[in-house]
Amino acid sequence: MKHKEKKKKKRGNALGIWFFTLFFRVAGLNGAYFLLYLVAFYYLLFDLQSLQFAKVYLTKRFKDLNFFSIKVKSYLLFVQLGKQLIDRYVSLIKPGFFDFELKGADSFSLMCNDSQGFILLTSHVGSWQTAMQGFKDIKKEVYLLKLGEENLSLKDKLKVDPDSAKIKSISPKQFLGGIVEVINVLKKGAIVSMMGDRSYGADCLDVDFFNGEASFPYSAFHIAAVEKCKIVVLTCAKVSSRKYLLNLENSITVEYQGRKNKKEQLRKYLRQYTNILENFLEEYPYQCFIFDNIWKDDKL
Amino acid sequence: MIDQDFLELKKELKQLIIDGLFLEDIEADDLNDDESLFGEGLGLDSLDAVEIVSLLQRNYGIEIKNMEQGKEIFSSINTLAKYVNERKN
Repeated sequence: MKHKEKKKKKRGNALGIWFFTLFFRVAGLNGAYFLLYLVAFYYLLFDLQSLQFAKVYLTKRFKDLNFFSIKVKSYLLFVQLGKQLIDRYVSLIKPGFFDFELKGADSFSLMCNDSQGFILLTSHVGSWQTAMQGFKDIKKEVYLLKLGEENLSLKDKLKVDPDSAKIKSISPKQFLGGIVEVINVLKKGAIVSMMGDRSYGADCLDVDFFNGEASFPYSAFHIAAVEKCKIVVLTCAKVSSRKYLLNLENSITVEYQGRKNKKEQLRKYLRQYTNILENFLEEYPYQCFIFDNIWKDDKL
Repeated sequence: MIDQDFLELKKELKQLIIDGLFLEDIEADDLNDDESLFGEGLGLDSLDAVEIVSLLQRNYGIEIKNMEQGKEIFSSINTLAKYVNERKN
């Protein structure tokens, strides 16, 4: 099925980022967070679209929530998202400010030393953009399959688009959604980072995800099967005010058993991926930033 | 270009597609040179297109880079063979 991207409001502007920077410079990280608590409250009152998306996720994740619980948990979601955007900016102007603990570093290093490329599957749970900073120093070239950021303020200040000679981008707006170029660079031994929960218009499959059927794109899994390369699922959790936990332990090997029903064969690998997301969100329920309704049974 | 070579290339490509995509109950001779590879012709889909792109790269070192080029090349065995033949020589 085709998964339609819903048109979203642009949030954040240069003036807002200027205020957060001011609070950070004057009162440190807690100062910036203090401002965030007020801004998040504004979004709680007035950003109905974000509230709708938050409600869909929260009712799936927690079940049996009343009106008040949904509001409180939506606020916590907005605060977590804001904190990770602030952290992203702080880590750009003050490199080394945050500690990163790596899980699965040894096996990841081995894969990086191998001539074979692989797919790094990222998601809108935790801060994948902050995690990407850690990839500037690895031996392999890294390519991000993503659209350019449309919000120019965020693009300039938070550098959400790749800016390093080692980290390049591939646009999904080309032949077969950029898959041809993805195959080209994988063959050259590069790492290709793809969003596992954002389709960019690509075909999706419906799989179980938190008590409902949700749509996830399957192209990463098909490429892995064709190219016989591994998928490493990256999650990045904020575990304390100045520490992130990057988990690279989870990898998926995709293999077709014959030609028939390839899409159906991919379903079990997608389910492995959504299991990883579910486990992450069981532990860090407010670090889900899928502000998009991916569940089939909830129409917004 | 020698016609016989071109015919051989088409046969080779047909066999490559049949083997590479695990097409069952079909022989190279069953494939019509002008038949569409996708949709109502051979019935391949976007998943298969990715595999053909990979097969071309692996076997002939040929890269297909843009959408319009891909659409045209994949329209039939004839167009695919013509493209491969031009890049091979």
